[in-house]
Amino acid sequence: MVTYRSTSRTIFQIFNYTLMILLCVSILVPFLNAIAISLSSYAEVAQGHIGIWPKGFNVDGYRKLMFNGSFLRSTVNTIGLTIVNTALVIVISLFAAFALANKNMVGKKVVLYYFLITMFFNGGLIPTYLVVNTIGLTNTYWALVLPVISNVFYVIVFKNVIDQLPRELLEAAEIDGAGEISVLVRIVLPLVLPMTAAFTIFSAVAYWNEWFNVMIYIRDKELWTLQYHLRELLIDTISINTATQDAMIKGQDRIHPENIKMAALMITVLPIIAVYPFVQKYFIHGQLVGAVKG
Amino acid sequence: MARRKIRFKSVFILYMLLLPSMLLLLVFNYFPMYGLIISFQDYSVFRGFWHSDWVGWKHFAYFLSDDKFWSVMRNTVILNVYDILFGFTAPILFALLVNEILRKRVKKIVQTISYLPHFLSWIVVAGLVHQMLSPVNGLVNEMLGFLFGMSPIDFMTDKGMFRSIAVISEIWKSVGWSAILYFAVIAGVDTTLYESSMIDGASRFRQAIHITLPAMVPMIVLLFLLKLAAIFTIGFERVFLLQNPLIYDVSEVIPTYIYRLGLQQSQYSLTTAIGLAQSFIAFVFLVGSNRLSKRWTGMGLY
Amino acid sequence: MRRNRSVWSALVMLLLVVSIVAAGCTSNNDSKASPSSPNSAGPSDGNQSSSPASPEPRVEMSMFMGNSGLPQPEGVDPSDNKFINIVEKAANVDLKLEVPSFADFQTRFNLLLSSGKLPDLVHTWLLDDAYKAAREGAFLDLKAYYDNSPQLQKYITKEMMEFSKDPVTGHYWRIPMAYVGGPEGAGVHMMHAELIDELNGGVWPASVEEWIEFFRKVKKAMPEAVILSNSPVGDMAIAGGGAVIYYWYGANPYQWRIENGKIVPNVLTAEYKEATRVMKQLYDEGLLDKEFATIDGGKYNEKTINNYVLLQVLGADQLAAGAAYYRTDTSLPEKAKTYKWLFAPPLANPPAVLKDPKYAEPRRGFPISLHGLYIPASTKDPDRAFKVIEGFASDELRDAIFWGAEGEGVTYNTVDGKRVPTDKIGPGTPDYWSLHLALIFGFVDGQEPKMAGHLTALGDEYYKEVYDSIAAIDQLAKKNGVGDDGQGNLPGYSPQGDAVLKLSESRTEISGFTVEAIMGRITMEQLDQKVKAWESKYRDVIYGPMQQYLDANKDDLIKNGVLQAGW
Repeated sequence: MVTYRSTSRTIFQIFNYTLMILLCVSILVPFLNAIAISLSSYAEVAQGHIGIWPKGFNVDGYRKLMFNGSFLRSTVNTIGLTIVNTALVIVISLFAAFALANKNMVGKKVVLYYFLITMFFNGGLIPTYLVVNTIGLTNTYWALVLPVISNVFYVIVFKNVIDQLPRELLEAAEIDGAGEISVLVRIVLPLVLPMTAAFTIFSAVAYWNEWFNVMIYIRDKELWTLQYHLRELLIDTISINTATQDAMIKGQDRIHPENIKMAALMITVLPIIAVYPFVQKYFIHGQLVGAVKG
Repeated sequence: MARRKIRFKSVFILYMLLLPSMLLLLVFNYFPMYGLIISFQDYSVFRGFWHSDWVGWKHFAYFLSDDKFWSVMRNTVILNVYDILFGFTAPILFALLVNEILRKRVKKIVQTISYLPHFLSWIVVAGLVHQMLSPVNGLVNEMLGFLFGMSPIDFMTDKGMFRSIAVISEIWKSVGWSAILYFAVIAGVDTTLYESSMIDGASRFRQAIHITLPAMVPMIVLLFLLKLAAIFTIGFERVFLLQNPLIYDVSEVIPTYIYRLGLQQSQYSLTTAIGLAQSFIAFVFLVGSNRLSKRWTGMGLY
Repeated sequence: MRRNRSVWSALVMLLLVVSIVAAGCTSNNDSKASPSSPNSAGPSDGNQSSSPASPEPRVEMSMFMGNSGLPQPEGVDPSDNKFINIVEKAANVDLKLEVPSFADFQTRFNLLLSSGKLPDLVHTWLLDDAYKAAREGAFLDLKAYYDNSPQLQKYITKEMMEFSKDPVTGHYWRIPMAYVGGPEGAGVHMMHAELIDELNGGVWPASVEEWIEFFRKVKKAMPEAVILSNSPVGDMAIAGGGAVIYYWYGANPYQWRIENGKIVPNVLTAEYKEATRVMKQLYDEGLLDKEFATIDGGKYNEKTINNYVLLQVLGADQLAAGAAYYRTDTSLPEKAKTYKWLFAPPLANPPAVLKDPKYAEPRRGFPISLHGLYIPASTKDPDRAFKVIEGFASDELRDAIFWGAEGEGVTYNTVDGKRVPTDKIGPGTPDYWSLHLALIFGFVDGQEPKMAGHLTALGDEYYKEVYDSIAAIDQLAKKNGVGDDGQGNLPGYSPQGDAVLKLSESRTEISGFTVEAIMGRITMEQLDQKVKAWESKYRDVIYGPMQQYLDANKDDLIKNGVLQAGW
């Protein structure tokens, strides 16, 4: 196989790598700074002299966030909700998209508009709250699932992707006598896998970070999500530390708000970074052409 | 073409597939839509939707006749145009460039690092921007002074620079994450296309232009149409945190305008009215531009 | 592929089942937990569950309350702890409290109103929302209750009730929270008074020019010192440090003054123009922080700790606590212990352009805050609900909050007949959160224990200096009467309609041309033009109605302590 090593190619590679390095450094530095702040002592953070290395190493921020009763519960809640919601939203959107892309569909335009309108028009916080309340879902897990598992954007994108699939493939299956469901699962699904992977990570992240619905619908601490729990602690720390000069906490136990903020950020982001590679392989391939072996 | 037979069994199954989403949308999106009527009322939280006074078009008249509103809208659209020109194209270019990284390992690492800023809140990012551009000892000014001997420039208070700063910081924050969608598209491209093009002697550059890019076009069109429809809306936090009194003329956008209206009292009706107008225009835009797009390029949102 | 399909469907089925089961399990969780009388399982006083002697049966009531930014620590039950139990005992009520977090309070309050199901008692600081709902029948008028309650009148005076009246309908919808006890007014806070001794021979500058000379001296001795900075707040680009010069000229850009019965926005005065010119001069000379317009709170704090920011405008009730903090806090750098925090004495030679020195003098704060206790109209037993409010005004509760629930020997000691707090009370101690229950007394109450604490932290000599400087401000403030209601309006006046909608815009515009003029982006002539443009757009809209209110209520205002209404 002829490899292309022209000068323009080399120049391009240099340019590309430089750009990537610059971008990555510009991102890593603030992040390392954030990690460092999350692991530093109050005094050092207050002085504002933290670079990319912690000073006065301590894990008080993490300890405050994690070592209390509701942390474990909210983490379990969030993991469960993330898995359930992500699975549901993907499945439901895929079903709908498949139906809309199917040539046997009747009333396609109407249904499409039915979906589209909801992308633009929204009744607002209070009516939604009242509806959920009337149905009796307040303070249950349902309130953290049902209102958030419709995603019209996914439907539209999936539909478009399915539309792009070669007709012959689907027709061949039809000739073989496959029913709709069969076609969906055996033929369409494998082909939309990269997009599914992308949406899986989008959804998972969104649900992992969810706190707003907890604030509105939930009263019991048992149903808290991780983000909400972190947010509560964060707000409290900040209001205690900045309300008035009067309200300064004395002694060893003091934790700087920046410290907690960064620790909360890390607790939120690190699981995502940990899980991401499993999804990443679905859409980052090495290219056969010109690829260095390995 | 012969008239299509309506295959009832198929149609039934298809509607069954549609049922969950349509039901969910009915309950959680359509039912609450009655809330939009407060745009025509003087809504009072306690009285509720059915007992608040009706005022017709009063709120619409208010903001449509407010000079401030039009200048604010102009700012919103201009910023969105900038965002589309640069912020929209950035992930596309980024995806293509990352695709050119040959070592799979490096590719994955770069991609992972690139999406990290998505998780930072705008409070953090705006803080970073302020830090970097500070006239007192911001990094950029230090470097300008060191390399070119220039005296410090006050970037954040310069009217001409605001839009660039806003757009660039948005790109930094979101390019990696937005590109994921394009990576997914690229991954779905039939690899035999690349193989056969190589046999024909195509360079990687030509492959990118003639295979990869066209594969991305449907997604690009789709996302572009959505972005276009949203031309009168824009994120609140980014602008709010990067503004300051010297640049309000260029930086005040619809959500910050609304925010200031609502500061003293909860102006539910007025803000809902503005939101309703935005939604309506966006919807009309979308339908219109989708039609045009289909006519010109054969591709559209739906 | 067959395998894929079965794996997928199995997964989906499993997840659907799991979610159904999970939801089913939790539907047993009622939002209203079983109503049981609070037992004495915790460290609380014992008597409630068995009160056979009380003539009335114990009633259960619900209450919605905010924690004002001071949340209960983990493990403390808002409905059952040694503080709330005092209230419960006084009213003979089992109180079930719902306390959302501070950041969510506004949303939750509005959702509560919208749901139409109000609890028996409501505490909120969202005055406009609450009054609006009250006018539509959400809450009861409490005047009659107040008149018959000597306990409440101990802490809430008649003037306070008058100030809390609804300007639109004249009803008394709430029992307000008092905001008295601390020193009044605001002054120019010198954060490095030690430099007066070191560089100025112990002589305080007596005029604006002398202060500027002093700035130059400091800058020469310490080139990295910032001298003057700023803390923009919302639409107001000039606040805190930036407001110092304007303070001396009596011309804060966002405020107004009354001259011969006419309300004059400060931007229209000659004093404002001169003050802005001085600010510009300072900016050019490098004595005003170059990033004063874009700096944020965090950075400002950093600069005050490390970079010799000299002055800011500060409330009189904030100085002593801050001074104590700087002397004792372990996280501050060592040199912070050498800083001296005092109020700068009022200028002996005020600027010539100042029409009347009283405009540059502090005024009293509004005696009530936005907080209030309300009784919804839907409450089944309003009399009892009011007893709960009286419970919040009980002397026992006051003692517990400010002197500690454990009392003698633990949280304070009595020395020579005077109480002296120990270090088991005050900010940072486990019970400090109880301050948020001071819904009647107010958060600035409890000055005695605070002052005693300061004495310990500052030492006799410094303590005297600090409190003397505070006294100077306090005296002037009391002489000049009440300023505004804390919201920038004449007490008792509530702006409606456009006056509200345009306010933020107006402030934004003021911020714009003020900062531009200071930075030299526009000339003084251009500033005049912009001020004129502002006047034509906003003056009548915002200040017209307030002027009418002033004209109609001048005598009442003066009677209630708003002396400036007669200026």
